[in-house]
Parts: sequence; C-alpha cells; structure tokens
Amino acid sequence: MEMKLETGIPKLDDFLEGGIESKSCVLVLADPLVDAATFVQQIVSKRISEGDKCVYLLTNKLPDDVERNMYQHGFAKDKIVFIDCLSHTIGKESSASYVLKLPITNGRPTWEEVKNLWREAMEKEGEHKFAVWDCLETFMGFAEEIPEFIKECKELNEKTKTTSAFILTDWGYKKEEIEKIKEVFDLVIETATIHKKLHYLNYYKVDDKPAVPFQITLTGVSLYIPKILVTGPYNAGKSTLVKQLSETAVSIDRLGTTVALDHGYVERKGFVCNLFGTPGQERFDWIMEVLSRDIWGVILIVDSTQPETFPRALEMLEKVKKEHIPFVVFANKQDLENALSPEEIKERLGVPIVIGGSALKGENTEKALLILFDEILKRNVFRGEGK
Amino acid sequence: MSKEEELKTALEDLKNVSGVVGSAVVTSDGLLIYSDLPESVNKRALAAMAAAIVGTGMQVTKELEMGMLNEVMVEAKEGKFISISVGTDEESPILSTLVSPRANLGLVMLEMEKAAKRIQRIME
Repeated sequence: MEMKLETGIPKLDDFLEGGIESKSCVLVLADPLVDAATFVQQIVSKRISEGDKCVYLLTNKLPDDVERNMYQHGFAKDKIVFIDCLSHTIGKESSASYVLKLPITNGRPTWEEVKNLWREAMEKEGEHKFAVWDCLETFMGFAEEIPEFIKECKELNEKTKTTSAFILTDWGYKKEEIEKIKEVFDLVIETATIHKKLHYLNYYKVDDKPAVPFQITLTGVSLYIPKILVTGPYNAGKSTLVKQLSETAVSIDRLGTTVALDHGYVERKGFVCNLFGTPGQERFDWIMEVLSRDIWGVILIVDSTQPETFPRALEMLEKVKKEHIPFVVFANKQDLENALSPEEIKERLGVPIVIGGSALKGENTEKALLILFDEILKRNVFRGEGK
Repeated sequence: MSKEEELKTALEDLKNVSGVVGSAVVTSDGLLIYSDLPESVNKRALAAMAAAIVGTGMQVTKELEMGMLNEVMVEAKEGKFISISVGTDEESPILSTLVSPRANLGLVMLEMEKAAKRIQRIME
C-alpha cells in the first residue's frame, strides 16, 4: 500500500483515508474566484511541518509574494525551493534556485524551458518532496500536450519519490480540454464559488465525496458553515452554549432572558461558523422566523432535568426546521444529579442524534457542533450548484 | 470592478455625506456582506442585530397594518443607527448607517435611499 500524506485541509484527509497518496499527481482545478494558491499553500505548510521539502514553480507571481502570503496565514514556509518564471520578465533580480531566463509568454520556447526547469528540480532536489506548479493555465495554449507531460511527471514522481500538485484555474477553457487533463491525474480537487445575494461561498470537492464549503481565514483553510441556529425551550442554556463556543458572543437579553437573539462567531482551528440563538419563550416565536432564514443546521438544546419542556422543544424544532435541515439535540445540564441520560432523551424525543454535555462547563459543546457539521456535509447541499 | 469593490465605493460615497460615520450591508438573515463601520465594532454581531431590528420592525408594521416599513431608527445620545431595506421584499438585504447626533437627517436619509438603489443594482 502507498503511503498517505496529510494535507491539513479540513475533511480532505478523512475523505482520502489519511491524505493524498505519496508519489501521486494532484490537480487543483479552480474557479477564478477561489484563491487556489492559498488553498495549495495550506498543503505545502502541512508537508513542510511534516519534514518534507517543497519545490514551488511560479508563473504569475514572485517568490516574495508566496512567502508573504504564507507568512500572513501563519503557514510554515522554510524549506521551499522556488522555480521563478516571472522575475526575468519584469527585470527583477531573483535569488531563487531555478530562474527562467526567457520572457514568460505562452510561446513554445518558454513552455519547453519551464518543463526543463521542472524536470531539473525534480531530479536535483532529492527525495520525499512536495512539488507545486502554480499555475498551469499559463500554458493552456498547449492543452493537448499537457496530459503527455503529466504522464511524464508521474514517472518523475515515481523515480524521485515526489508528490506534486498542479493548479489550474478554469477561465472558461474548452470542456473537452479540461476533461482530457483531468483524466491523467491521480486525484482531482475541484474548487468553486457560488454566490447568493452577494454572499460568496467557496467549496471544494473530490471524487464522489460531499462538497466541503470553506473559507480562507488568517489561520488558513477552514470549513465554513455560514449559519447555525441554536434553539430550545426557556432556560435550556442556549445563550450559554453560544457564549461557550464563541468568545465574541453577543446576547440581547433582559434580566438573563434572551429577548431578541444571541450571536456568536466561532473561529477555531479548521472551522468557522456563525451561531444564531433564538429566545425560548413562546411570546418571541415570531422572531424565530427571521432568525431561521437560510440556516444550514440546528442545534436543539434541552434541559435534561426538565422533561416537561420536551414537547415545547419538539414544537420549536418543527417551527425552524424546514426541508429536512440537519439537526442535533444537545442534552444540556448532564452534570446535574437528576438529569435524564442522553439515551433516554433520545427515546423520549424520537430523534436520531442526542449528545449529552454541559454548556456551562463546555463539555461536549464543540463535539455537538462537529457532529452537526458532518450531518450538514452529508446532505451535500452543493449538488448541482455552481458550474 | 468586482461586486465587492462596487459595494465599497457605494458605501464610501455615503460616508462622504456630513455626519455619516459608517455603514454596513447585511443579508436579511443577519450575515455581514460588507461594512465600513469603525474597526472596534463587532460587525458580525451588529449584522445579526440589524437583521433582528428590521425583522422586528416589519413584524410590527404587519401587526398594526401600517403598510411598508420605511426605516428603523435607533436614536441615542451619541448617535443614530438607521436601517433600511435594500429592495422591496422581506428577503432583501439591509443597509444600516451610523450617524452622528447633529447630522442633517433629511439629507442622510436621501443619500441612504440613493445608496440602497445603487446596492440593489450591484446585486442584480
């Protein structure tokens, strides 16, 4: 069996059962609106922190640009050997190990010379390296020759124990050309953007796995769920849960009772989301309609010591949960003596997923969120969207 | 110009009106689209609040049969926070503007309406 290389991209390593295969050729096929370079640099950073060397070929930016971008995202960036194809064209001195001495055009001599530099670096820079070609679209004029070159790269990878990733941003090339290129790669990661009411959402997709919405933040590539609703009966602990998960949470309350909403922005390693908490009392039910617009998932929170509130909990769930939106039940206050067990609550409510914990003490709060994320991904909401 | 840049320019022009401190455009369900409010503001939380107050305002006008909502204004000693709907239906985004206490409100409202029309065009 081939060794797997972790990528550090949320969910990708799970989907690929450990990571991308060692010595494989990966295509990152991107939508112009997606920052594919930063996406790939996240993988570079992960590989460097695992001890690999990295070779990075650049056709449309400078090594400094890459280093600066990687620094801004807190990525590891030592041990990068650059193949600089741009500096010569703009008349800039380059300290890169490999420098293209021809103007970077889409002409034949440039294409041949860039390929030669790549071959040279593959041979010279030793084994166990991760190589990036950023970006392939510069040479889409030779689209017919690209599959042949990738086949050669696969042999080079085998020989020099290298794993490589090629970035190709699809500016609207012929479908057949793209298909032919996709075919030769061992793995294709497609990224795209959809936009709705000015809200842009990136996602990536591999094989038949569900699409993963992501956002590139200052800490790198994160799973991104725009909106999760936290609801449940009066005094179940909704505001406490939101506050527990978000340091910048805001609650609009009077004497400890939420009268409008709670809001929390959660940014943790690997995931980002917005939590919206509803009031619990029936007299505020109308606001749930406003808050439950375009939600991706629901956390229904119940007080495990108050089974008499369970019918109200189910009623609230009915109100917000349109069109089979995924939900989990958080059985709160498990630390109290007379709490019903999560299993018992599951039976009483007749729901598939109940997670027991304590919002106050932060027990299982993050776990509940992560389980809900998985349920959301399983729904594969992007099917048929985008391009 | 990208949509984001267009939006930025629209809000910049609004900011040039005397007394306007900054603005935010948010979706009706409370997610931030763009804002040039001061750095110190928790903009994502404010986006949620703006959606909640406009949602509440719409609910009140419906309940009292007052017709279409024009704006929601939060008036305080140190400023005014005005929110209007960008478009005509409940799902239209919201433009919220923070205004200093002594601003010419008529002018600000007029410029907000103008900006809203511009934003509506950008979104199409």
